[in-house]
Amino acid sequence: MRDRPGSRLLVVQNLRREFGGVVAVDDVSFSVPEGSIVGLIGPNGAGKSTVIGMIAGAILPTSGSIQLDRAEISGLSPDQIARGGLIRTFQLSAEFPRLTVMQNLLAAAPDHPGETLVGMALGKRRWGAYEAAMVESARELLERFKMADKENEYAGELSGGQRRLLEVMRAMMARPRLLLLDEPTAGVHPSMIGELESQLASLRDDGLTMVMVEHELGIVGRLCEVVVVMSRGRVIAEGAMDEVRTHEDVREAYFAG
Amino acid sequence: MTIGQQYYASLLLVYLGVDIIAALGLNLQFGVTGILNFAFIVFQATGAYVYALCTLGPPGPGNLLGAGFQTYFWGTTLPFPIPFVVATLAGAGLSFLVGVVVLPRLRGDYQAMAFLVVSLIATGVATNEVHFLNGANGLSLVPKPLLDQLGLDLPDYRWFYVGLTAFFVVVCWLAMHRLTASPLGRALRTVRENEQAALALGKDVRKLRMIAFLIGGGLAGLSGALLVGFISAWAPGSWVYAETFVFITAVIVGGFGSNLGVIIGVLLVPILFGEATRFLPEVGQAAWIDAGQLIAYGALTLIFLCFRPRGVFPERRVRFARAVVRKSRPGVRTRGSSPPS
Repeated sequence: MRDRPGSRLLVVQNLRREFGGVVAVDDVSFSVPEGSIVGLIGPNGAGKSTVIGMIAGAILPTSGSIQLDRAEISGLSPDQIARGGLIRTFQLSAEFPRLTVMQNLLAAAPDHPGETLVGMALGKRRWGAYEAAMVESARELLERFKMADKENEYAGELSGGQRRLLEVMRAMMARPRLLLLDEPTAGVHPSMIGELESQLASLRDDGLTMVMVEHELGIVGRLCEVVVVMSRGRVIAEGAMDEVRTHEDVREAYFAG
Repeated sequence: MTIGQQYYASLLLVYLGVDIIAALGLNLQFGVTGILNFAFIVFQATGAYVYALCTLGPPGPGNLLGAGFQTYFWGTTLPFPIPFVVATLAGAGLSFLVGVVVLPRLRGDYQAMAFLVVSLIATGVATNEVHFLNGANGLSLVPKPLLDQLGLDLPDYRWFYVGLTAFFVVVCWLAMHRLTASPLGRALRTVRENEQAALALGKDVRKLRMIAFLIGGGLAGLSGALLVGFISAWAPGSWVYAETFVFITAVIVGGFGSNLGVIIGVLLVPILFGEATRFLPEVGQAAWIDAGQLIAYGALTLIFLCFRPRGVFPERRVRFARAVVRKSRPGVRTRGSSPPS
């Protein structure tokens, strides 16, 4: 099923990025089947975050192609890519600290009629119903992630783990077709990691496609159908977690540095 | 009230209104969107000059207001309230020109520096190019709106002007309230809070910045027009770069991002602190009055940034109404969605 072209939501081909003379990412190709989670793993400095940055439009590729649903997106700006349905989270939390949790979530609502000058000027008659619907879906998310009591807290006052959850929830509010998660469990309290994992699994079962950079290999093994292993800017292995785990290059990359 | 007291009271009230309109504009740019516009006063000055040019009439020997002692490059006479509209548009128009150059290319400290340089250049040009806007002497005898048509004597006319200013304050306040309480206002705040995250959620950050910058510049232009329509004279000395810091102090003291805070900030900073220095006992040279004002503003900014960075009246925590009927806690204000019927 993975090889049927119509089912691949994201196709990355021959991606390369140089910083000065340093090649951070070299000839990286992989594809993401619709409705699955692809794990991107590898030791520190392997180029995983650079790949995520290029897919999200924050870093311009030196060469190569990135296609979302067969449309070329490399070279587009981050906001254009986001409006195309590809939403990313950041390795370091990127909440809006002086907005409340609810405002953080509502800010992600796509195509909000109240965010244009005309819509704003027309007032709540124009955007009130949409806003109310978004408040409801934000509350459902908050319930689902067990953060309903934090609705009116300022995001800057949350704990590190709660901020991560907020970022995942905020990305969900944007109704993405593809979600890029850059180390979603980093800094999350161990008691919440299991919860986050089961949330991601249920999102996958609902049909959401994801790419996930993650150091916690247990989670990657349980969530990801396909794992792409990177080392020193290159893809050194691709396949199911059990397959790549025994791969000689992978063991060397992880344990011999 | 004696004529003198009336004179002073009406002056203070017009200043209060003008400063509120300007500070609302700066608050949208700086408090809500995070653009530290150190050239803000230039956009007020633009409104003032444009108002003057739209009322003084063509320059030259045939013009009683202009003949002999003041030169300017162009002028006309437009009926009330068109000069106010043109001045507002001029503030927004200059904001567009400056914004196109500065906003996309620079961020943070460098952007603030670029604005400061814009302010210095503008003062330099207006001061030294005598044929442009009469140089350092500036423009004077600027006609007061509706003075002849109303036929009031001067004290009554000044109270009329207080009412005119109040009208514009109410309109601007309502408009800013609608904007900052809307989803668009929230989107502007995401730009202030974290630009990268705003982009990653699909916000057109360049456009949002430009919207705030243009509307803020328009309010600055309107405030300048209202000011010059009242005091009838405008010169580079009225808008040196330090005047911007008065408004920045007002926004910080009142409450970064809060429209109500802006009004408190203006009451405290240019009005209370600015005027209080007039009543201090005489010490040393007369120039200490101006210097004392600036010292007071600087000290206030530092004190607030250190001890109360959100200001006297901070941006309000927005709570959203519950669609399901639940008993809301007393005293908790709700805003936003109304329950679907």
